Amino acid sequence: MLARLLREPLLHFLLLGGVLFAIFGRGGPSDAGIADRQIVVSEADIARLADGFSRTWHRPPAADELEAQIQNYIREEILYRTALAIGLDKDDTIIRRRLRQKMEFLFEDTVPVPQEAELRAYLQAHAEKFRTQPLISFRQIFVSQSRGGHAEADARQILARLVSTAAGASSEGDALLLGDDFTRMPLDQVAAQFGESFAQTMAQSIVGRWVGPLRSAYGLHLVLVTAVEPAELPPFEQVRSAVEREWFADRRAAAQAAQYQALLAGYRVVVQRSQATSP
Amino acid sequence: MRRMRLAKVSALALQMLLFWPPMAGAQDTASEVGTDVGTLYRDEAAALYKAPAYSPYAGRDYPRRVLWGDTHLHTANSLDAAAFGNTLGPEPAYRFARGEEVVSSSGQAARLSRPLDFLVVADHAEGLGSAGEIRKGNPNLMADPTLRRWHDLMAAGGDSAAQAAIELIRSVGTGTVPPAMMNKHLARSVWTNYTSIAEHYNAPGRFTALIGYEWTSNNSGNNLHRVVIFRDGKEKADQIVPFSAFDSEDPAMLWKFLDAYTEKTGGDVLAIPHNGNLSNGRMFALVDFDGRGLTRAYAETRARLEPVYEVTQIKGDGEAHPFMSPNDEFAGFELWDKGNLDLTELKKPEMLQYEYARSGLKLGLRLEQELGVNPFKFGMIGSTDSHTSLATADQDNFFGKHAGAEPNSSRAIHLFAASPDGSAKIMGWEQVASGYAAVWATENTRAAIFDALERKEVYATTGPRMVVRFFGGFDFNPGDANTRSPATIGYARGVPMGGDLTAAPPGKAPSFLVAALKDPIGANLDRIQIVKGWQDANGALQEKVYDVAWGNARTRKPDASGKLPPAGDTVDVANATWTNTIGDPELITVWTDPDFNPVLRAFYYARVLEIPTPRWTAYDARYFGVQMPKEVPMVAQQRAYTSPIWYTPKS
Repeated sequence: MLARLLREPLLHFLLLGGVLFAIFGRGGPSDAGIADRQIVVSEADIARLADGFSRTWHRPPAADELEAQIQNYIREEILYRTALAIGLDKDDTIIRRRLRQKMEFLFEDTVPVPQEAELRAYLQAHAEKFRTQPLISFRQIFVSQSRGGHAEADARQILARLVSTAAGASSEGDALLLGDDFTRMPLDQVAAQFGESFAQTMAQSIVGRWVGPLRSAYGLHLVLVTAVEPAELPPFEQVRSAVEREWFADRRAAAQAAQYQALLAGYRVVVQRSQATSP
Repeated sequence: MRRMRLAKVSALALQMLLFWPPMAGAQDTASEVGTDVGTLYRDEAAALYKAPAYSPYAGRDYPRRVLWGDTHLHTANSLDAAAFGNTLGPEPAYRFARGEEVVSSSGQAARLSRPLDFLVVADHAEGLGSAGEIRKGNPNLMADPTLRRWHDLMAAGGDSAAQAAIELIRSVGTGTVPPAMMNKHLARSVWTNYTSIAEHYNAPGRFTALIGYEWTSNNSGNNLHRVVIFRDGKEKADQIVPFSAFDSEDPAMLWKFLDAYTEKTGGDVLAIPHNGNLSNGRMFALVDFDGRGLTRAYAETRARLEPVYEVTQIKGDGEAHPFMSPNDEFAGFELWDKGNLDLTELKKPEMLQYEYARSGLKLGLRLEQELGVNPFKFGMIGSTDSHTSLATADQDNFFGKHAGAEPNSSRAIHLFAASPDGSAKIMGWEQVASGYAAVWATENTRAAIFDALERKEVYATTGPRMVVRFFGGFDFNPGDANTRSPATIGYARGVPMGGDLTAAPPGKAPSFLVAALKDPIGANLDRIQIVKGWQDANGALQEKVYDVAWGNARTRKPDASGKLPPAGDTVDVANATWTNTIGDPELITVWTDPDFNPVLRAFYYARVLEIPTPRWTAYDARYFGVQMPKEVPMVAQQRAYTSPIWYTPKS
């Protein structure tokens, strides 16, 4: 019950409103500063500065280095408060874009951590995203176009000899930089390297039988598929991290859209188009 | 058409799932063989080095498939990218690189022709901090009086906003960055979030997300930027926060930080410099950051931590410059040689020798003689340096430097950057749709890719995915070019790209087995060249470019002076098309250095040229139906540069 309540979008929106109110509605720590003209660098602030230094240099700062960090922090705080007081943050494209980005992070943070059952359901519903590629092992004999007009006839003759001899090995054919045997190559890589129609034929050919000639961007090929491991949907445990990643990506996109629509509903938008800017 | 590719493959996969009965026998045999070759013979393969096993498949654990990636991509986490209007964080960047369709910051659907194998999201360390702070409930807004200068421009949007962004970047060089952007304690939460996203997208064997960032040293506007790449995962990377140019602009201080990381975590990390062309003589200078002469310690550290150089990217190609290479007809490719990064200082010719890779490699030979160690012993990769979260390097699919330069009808003729006095300008059309890193890794994992970078078994391309092999040794013979498996011979009798040769046997010159295969969906190859640099007997640095293999070789012969005629040109500019009716799909040869002297230091690398194809500006002109000004190049010969092989005489 509580878990379901925590995942309720309306609750998130209300919480978000609360956070925004906390930030902008009443005086936060930062707009107290200009009035009381007091800057307190607390123990905690100093510890944080020292920690930042240590993380870069893998050693604690020396006394003078820490002092420099503190002075820099004070300088930054003074300029920062003054800038806010004179309104330098207003209508600045960089700050607007950064704040928009922070709002979007905030929206994304409203996506709760998923339950395992949700992830399993997601895997079932989007199985095609997680299915592996078929893995194909094959040999190829290359017949180069540099043979000229009889390349295809040559290829067919070599194929006839390959089919009639049981051994299936041949020293015929031309060299190809990619090599002549391929082990467990994903089908999409076959397509990327040799072309889609090549991969299509491989997908339909029978293990242990020479086929061809197949045409690639390089020339002609005679191909013997030696083994195929079909595509499969891996068990949940194996793809959990990927499922989580995709689940979050979907939910975050949905949260962005929903939260924006919710905010938009609170505004009346007027676009004053001139003749020139009318669509 | 290309956009259908993945869908078709998925359909094929589904089809195989549905129609392929599990053939247990065949399947088991295959995996047994695979496993046995890997486990049974792996240890013995080293011992069998030059005596191949009966089984032609035994011992073949060298890298067999080249992996493609971008080591230098910016997302909305980078201050300048966000200022230009990039709204896409690392997640869409990874999705795009994996081959998925995403909507760009300017609202356009975008997809790669083919997925990449790996990606390094390399956002600027400077200002990487402030975005995630709201998660901690601290509404600390960055602000500073300096921002007032940019305020009016930014509010105006468009080109004015771009101008403000450039001024912002310039402030990094002049040390006037608003202090609010340097807040170290803000950085931590963003860094850990950043490494978490990389962790989620890292799928060993399938797609690798290496953790990295960019250290943006820009002293007086002179580009000394480095991309930092970790071999390790989140667990180790989270033990630091990125060292930024706010900590120091001196590369030696960055190296100190990198070594401290290794010492503390037991992990490994390297740095990749780029854009020497915008460093105004600083990238391969003969002095250190403070102007002192180089030492052996400097050379050792640099060579160890910076094994590769990013030689080509959006802001110019940096292989060679005609000023140093007047006899190299292909040296003037996509140059950005007007000034430093922000054009606050214009270029002087004497700076160039310290900026371009070929020249840097030559200077390294001399420094090795003086110091005993070569500080500039680097391999070569390409990457995009795109600030759009989109790692595009295809001419027909170029999404520009930043969100404001995504495809639109006038991006080519917009002013891209200008010097403060307006005397030097860079126009939008000068952006280069380049490049990618090709990596001969044994598998697609962080460790394997990192290790390949470290041993320099990598090469650069300006975008096309041509396969290039390059081996050097003393035992190659011309027949090796006809073998069915050049790589097997290459590894057995020589060293791969990035390797070393020494102590030439008496009377023998080094020979090189070099081969290139066209991009399967790209253009045929014009030629393979070998570039040699050496230090002559008088100590002077020399270079020479040899044409070693070329397309249409039956009819195309060098003239009396030895010059090879051009490949020809089939480009139809108006329609942005070309045909593969010239050039060859594959070139391979064994080449022996005809001018070898065993007592002189030298390096050799291969350059592979495609036949001419339409440049991205031609695709823009056709798609948008616009006329480009006549100075805009519309045709180019895309290319690859391998890491060198060095010859060092026995001391």
